[in-house]
Amino acid sequence: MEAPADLVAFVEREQPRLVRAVDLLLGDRAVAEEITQEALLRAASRWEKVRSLGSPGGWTHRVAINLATSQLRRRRVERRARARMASQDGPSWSDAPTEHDPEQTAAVRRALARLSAADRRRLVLRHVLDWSAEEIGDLEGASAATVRQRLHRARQALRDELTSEAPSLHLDLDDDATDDDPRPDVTTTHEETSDVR
Amino acid sequence: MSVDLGDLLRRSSSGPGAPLDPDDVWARGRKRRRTRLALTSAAGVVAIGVLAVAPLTLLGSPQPVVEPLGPVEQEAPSDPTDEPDDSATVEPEETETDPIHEASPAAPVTEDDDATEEPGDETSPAETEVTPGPDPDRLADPCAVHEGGEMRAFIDVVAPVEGQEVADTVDLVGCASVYEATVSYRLLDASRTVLIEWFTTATAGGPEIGEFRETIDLEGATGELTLEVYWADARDGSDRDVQTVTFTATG
Repeated sequence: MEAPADLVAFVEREQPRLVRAVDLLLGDRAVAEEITQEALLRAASRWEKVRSLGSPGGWTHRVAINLATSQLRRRRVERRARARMASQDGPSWSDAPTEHDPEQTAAVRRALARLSAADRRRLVLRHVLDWSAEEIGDLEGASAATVRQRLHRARQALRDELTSEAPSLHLDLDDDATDDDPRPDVTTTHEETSDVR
Repeated sequence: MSVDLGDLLRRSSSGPGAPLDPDDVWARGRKRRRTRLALTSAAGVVAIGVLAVAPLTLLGSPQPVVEPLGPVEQEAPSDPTDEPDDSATVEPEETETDPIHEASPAAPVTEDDDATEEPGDETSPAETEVTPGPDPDRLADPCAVHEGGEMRAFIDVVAPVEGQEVADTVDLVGCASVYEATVSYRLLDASRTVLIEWFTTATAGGPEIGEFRETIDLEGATGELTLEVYWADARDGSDRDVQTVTFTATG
């Protein structure tokens, strides 16, 4: 069965981006590939509607992000079960195959793993999938200004972790000035609960 | 060394993965869609049948209101590009379980309904029903219209609806994305006395969305009753997203 041309282009464009993004969220490429496939299948199964949306990519990203979030929840349950059984081993963040400098890659992945899942998600959405602060805010039920604050803190946290993980790398992360909002975060209503949950 | 964060993150991923075959994605997506439509048709028919036949039974009419369904395959088009796209508000889904329905309450006639309702049913006595009742499509899949609502806490009560008449029980049905999947409710009488205060559990907790269904025994209460449905904030226990529905119990 031959796929419509726009779906072919869509799959070819989004699949590698999504695998990278979900891998960075979960630290597990095999699961990232499965989730990406599932998200693209869901898009294909309702392609007539998805293609007419303003952002078919955004729709599919959200499906993938939510599947990844569910995966994280399951892992938390598994980790608790493992702890009860006095065993450990979570997803491996540092021994994944790499395309680039292995030392740097391992350091970045370890640093990412130390961030909260919410901060990791924000960084990946903003810097890997190129979502705007407004789009992330829509997902989180927060204002764009709040998201900029959170992104600023997430980048700072990543910087701190990288400094501790690999001081010799001397990475000076470019900050996205448009994301930074020096105003205090005064809009914390129940949107913060998305982090708690 | 100054580094672009996006570049750094992308380089730190473990690669783009094995490429998928778009034709395979398309074929499997089509198959999944046919399955979903078949399930939806079956659920819709049951709901429509119940609503349409019940008033007739009361009126003693011997005529059925809704024609029996034909095979669901009749509505699965071979060329999906010919289908009308009647939903402009498709949003993402989030759970592992595929939603089986995409109907919107604002657009009750969907591609699924087109296939399951016979022409000429417009004069169905079901439409003359004066007592408000829940939307059968929403009852069949309360979370269908909330695909993409994940990560934001909410409660949407599908049943009961405002002004509905019930007997000695009331069915609480809805969709929610709430902390620990716990949907709390309280039943109050006309004098605002709390008769029942309890909770039910949605099929998934926030940030996922999940449906909830609970039959509440009114314990003999009659007259105008109010149901308040809400979730408790994990930080301070306060009631959040309180949804209020007033209905009448005849006992």
